[in-house]
Amino acid sequence: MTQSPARIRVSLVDDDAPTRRILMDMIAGAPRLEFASQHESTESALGTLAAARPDVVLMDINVPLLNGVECVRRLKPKLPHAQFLMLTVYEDADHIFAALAAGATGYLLKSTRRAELLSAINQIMEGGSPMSSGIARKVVQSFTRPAGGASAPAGVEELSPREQSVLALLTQGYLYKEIAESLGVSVPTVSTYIRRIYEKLQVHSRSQAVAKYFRKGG
Amino acid sequence: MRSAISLFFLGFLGSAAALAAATAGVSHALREWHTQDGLPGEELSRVLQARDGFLWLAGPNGIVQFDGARFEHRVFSGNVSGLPSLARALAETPAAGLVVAPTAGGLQTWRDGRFAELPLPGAAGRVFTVLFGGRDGALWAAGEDGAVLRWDGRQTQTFATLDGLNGRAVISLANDAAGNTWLVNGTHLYRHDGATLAPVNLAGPRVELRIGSSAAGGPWLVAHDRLLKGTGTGWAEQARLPDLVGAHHIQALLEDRAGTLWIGTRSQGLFVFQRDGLRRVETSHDDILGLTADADGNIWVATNGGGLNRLRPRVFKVFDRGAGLRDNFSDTVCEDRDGRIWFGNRDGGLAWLRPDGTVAQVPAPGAWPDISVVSVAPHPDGGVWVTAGPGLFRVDRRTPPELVQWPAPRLPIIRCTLVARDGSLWFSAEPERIGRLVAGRFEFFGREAGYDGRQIRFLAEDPAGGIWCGTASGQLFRREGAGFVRVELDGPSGSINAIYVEADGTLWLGTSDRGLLVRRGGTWRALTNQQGLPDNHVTQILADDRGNFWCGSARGIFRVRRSDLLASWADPAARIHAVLLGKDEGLRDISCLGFFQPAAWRARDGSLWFTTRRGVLQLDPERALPEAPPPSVRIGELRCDQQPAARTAGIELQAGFRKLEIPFSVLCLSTPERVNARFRLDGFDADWITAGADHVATYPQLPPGDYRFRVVAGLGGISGDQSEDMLLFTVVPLWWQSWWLRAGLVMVAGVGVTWWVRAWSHRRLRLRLEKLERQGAIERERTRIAQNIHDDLGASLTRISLLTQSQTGDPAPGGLLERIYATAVEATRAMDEIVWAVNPKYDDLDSLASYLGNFAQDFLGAAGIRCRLDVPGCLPATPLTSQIRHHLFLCCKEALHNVVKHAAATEVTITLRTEGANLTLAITDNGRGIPSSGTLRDPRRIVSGQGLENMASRLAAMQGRCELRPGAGGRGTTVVFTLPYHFAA
Repeated sequence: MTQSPARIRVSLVDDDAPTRRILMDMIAGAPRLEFASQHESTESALGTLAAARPDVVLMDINVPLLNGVECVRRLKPKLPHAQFLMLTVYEDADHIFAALAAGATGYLLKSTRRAELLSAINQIMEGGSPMSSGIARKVVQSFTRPAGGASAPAGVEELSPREQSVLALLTQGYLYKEIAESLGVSVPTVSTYIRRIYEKLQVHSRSQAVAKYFRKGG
Repeated sequence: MRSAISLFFLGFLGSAAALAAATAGVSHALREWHTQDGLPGEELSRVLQARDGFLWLAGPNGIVQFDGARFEHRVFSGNVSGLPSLARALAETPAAGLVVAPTAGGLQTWRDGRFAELPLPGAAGRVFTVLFGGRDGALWAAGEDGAVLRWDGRQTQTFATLDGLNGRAVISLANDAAGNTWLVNGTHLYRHDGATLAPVNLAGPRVELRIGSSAAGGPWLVAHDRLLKGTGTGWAEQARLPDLVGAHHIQALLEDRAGTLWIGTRSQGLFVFQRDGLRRVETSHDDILGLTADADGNIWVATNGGGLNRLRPRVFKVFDRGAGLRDNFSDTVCEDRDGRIWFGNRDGGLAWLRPDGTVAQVPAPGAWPDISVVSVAPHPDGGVWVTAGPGLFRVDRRTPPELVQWPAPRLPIIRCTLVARDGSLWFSAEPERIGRLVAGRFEFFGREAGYDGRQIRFLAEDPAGGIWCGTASGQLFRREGAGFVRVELDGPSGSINAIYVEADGTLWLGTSDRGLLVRRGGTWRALTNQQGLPDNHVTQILADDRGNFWCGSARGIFRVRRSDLLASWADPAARIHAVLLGKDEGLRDISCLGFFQPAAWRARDGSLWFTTRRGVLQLDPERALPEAPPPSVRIGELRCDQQPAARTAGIELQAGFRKLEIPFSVLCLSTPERVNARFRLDGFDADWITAGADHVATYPQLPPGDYRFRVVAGLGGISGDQSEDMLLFTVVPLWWQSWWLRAGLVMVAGVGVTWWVRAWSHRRLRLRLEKLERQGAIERERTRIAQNIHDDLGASLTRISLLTQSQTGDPAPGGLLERIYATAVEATRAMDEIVWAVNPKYDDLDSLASYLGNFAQDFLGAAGIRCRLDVPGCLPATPLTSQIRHHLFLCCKEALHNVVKHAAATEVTITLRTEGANLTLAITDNGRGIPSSGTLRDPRRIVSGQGLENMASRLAAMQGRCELRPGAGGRGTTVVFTLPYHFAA
């Protein structure tokens, strides 16, 4: 099988074999996607996933033992360019937020239609990221409620005014399209903002963790 | 050894008569004590001041010690201890101390606070009627049987075989200046020279004799009706005594420190013999048995039926009807240039004091037979100005004085007059003018001259010659230029009765309601009874040379130190120590006058004259209130429940008594009314307690411990000088109050309490743990259920939905796969909802907000309705039970369904607020609103219908409410869920 450089390599981490199968089939059947690897456990993912050099990792958030969030946290440094898309049965804001803070850039409900699922994989490669109002709330709270004391990052100021207004509109229930209209930009631009917010969230979370560590240690 | 001394009579000495007229005798103020004052009985035989200052009284009612306020009954000891302490005789000598002769026999001496037998040879069992202390220190005792003992501290002499010593005659003894002791036995006279007793022969027939001690020359001797004085070489007759005052009737003779002889008789009362002759002195009873003089110069009189009397030299003289005035009321008094005192006597007219001390009336001019004199003022040329009803009069220096009318314009009654140092006469020209007579010319100052007062009460001249005027309505004026100016006081004041201006400008006003009103350096201050002034109505002010003010008041005359007043002016909290002349000085219930001027006068000899309602009082400020050392204080015997407890070192009292009394004495015989005593029991009293008149401190049951009782006493008016006594005692615990029993009880109680607290806290802790465990178990169970649903059911549903999507290409709409997919997604969502509701992880408000927001967005998004969320960025981390958040979620879901189904809205806003004690969730749509014909007439009311009933009942179950409100401008609807937030907690 010849490999086109434009194809997106996708890895799968899920403990449920039938699910993996179906997803594998979907990916294999998609024209722009290429199946990279599949892992039934996070241990196996940690061991071999990096070698498969995926562009996108579909990670079940509720894998037993070491959960998906922790797995992302450990794999992301090894695969800085890979996009981690969390798979979840339902929208559990806490878990998803934790995963996003750990390095994921998006999430998907497992019950998503095939077309939406494939499009989401494509979108994430193009720089788009989904964010619901509940997640937006968590992000805002994370930035306004620094976990640490004086050494902790200074809050929302890390976000640009634009990013702040996008976040604000999201928490108020605006859809991407509505935000775009409201701010006079395109929908992909809104997506880009959100991606940047995620990236800043990760940096923010790491520094908070560091601050926490130092506070505990010192 | 016998020595006959030849004596001769000097004839009647003419010199005595010449001396008699020289000075008027010192008058005495009488004060009486009777049984109602604590005296054991009205009959007293002897009185004596002991060296320690206490007064001893002997009589048929017992022997009593007196400190000026309290009579303390004393009991005998030894052979006569059980018998009543009746005694007839008292004496004190250095060797024997205070000696008493009990009627039961023997002698008792007072030592260390109790009586003891005095073991004199020959004294035991003998009954003595006379005791006497010789100047040589010997004790003389005369027995009922006629025998006389003399004890010089070492040995006893007994005289029994002398002529006349037969026990039937009255024995009296006396000292002379040379140290001899004289003894009279009926008609016989003897002299003891320190070694032997020798008879003394008197010329003439044998008559009844009495003898009295003297500090100068020989003794006093009364031979029948003649009063004789020993000269050392003979006898000089002093006076003839009237009937019933002669030797046979004399029961007591006393020479006081001034050399005055006091004679106490059996039926005629008390007489005093001075150079001017014999004078009777008022006493409470005419049968006088005992006389003594105390160290302060008071004469104490033991009467047989009239109690105890004290005679104190009077510090004042009263000029009333008794002194020769026609009316007791003299409104004014003054001294003229020649030192004559003049009285403005109300109904008696003008009167004056003649050089011999008698009062003489000045005859009224013929035209006005009933002249009522109002004011007298000294004329600069001698004599006085007199104002009376019919006008102004003048009396010149001639004797006898004569009233001459002064040509004057028609004037109303002149109440106040003042002769200024320049000789001009200032007077009140009622009703509203001040008058002045200068160089024969009358001048008047009224409104035009700045004086707008009414009824002048006082005119004063200050040291600089300025004239002041005070009125009955509290106005003060000062002369300035050609007229008067008003001087403002610090506030409204009653009548200004007196004005006194000092050289430094200090102004003293005697007011009718604000005591002394003082202005000093521009600052006014009223010194009143709050600071210790005896009365707030001051009528007169006079100053003496010793820095004191003497003020007349409605309660009498009081003396107050100027320095005390100034200290109180500077600090109103400082006490003024004023002394009111009262009972001790023989003055009581005196009320001063002050409506006319001059109502008080200071004469050039320093004496002070005050008009009062009892007459004009003349005081000698030097003698009136002599400074005295503070009275000595002595704590007496403690009494526990009426039982005496000996006052010894380290007194121990058994706890458990109901009442402890500590008597104390404050020795002050002259001015007991001025004594102020305070006591304090350290360990019980927090502060000093002012003693009552009885001088006993009473305490209830005292807890075991060490105590210190202190008494301090001083004389009122003398700040600082106080004497003190102190007593330490211990209250010993009873067995059940002992420390070991208490410690044991405390321990038992402590163990009990500890055990109970332990048991109680254990139980509480256990219950709490159990509750927590139950809660934990429930939560764990909920988590497990949520996990299981999620893991098993979730995975399966996911698979189903994924399977429907595994086919390449879009599934046919409405096809089987699509329907399966939709069902699976719906089941997933339902499961999701159940997991969310069950999992305790989501038990907070933020979870509700997130979940609800996502749901609404999805749900409304699918229906093509815009969703807006208005939720605070940060919500309180208050726990929200799964039941409540689920109910709330279901309510919202219902409301959203309603909107989608019925409202035809394009936008829905979900608002969440935590305000006050409430949580509010509002769902507002912009749809068509509630039809006006609908069931909801009152939109504020809890609603029903359109599925709202369901919501309302859900909210009601949570003690919340559900309201339906029409939207703004008639469009749309708002459903508001409100529930008490504390309920959510």
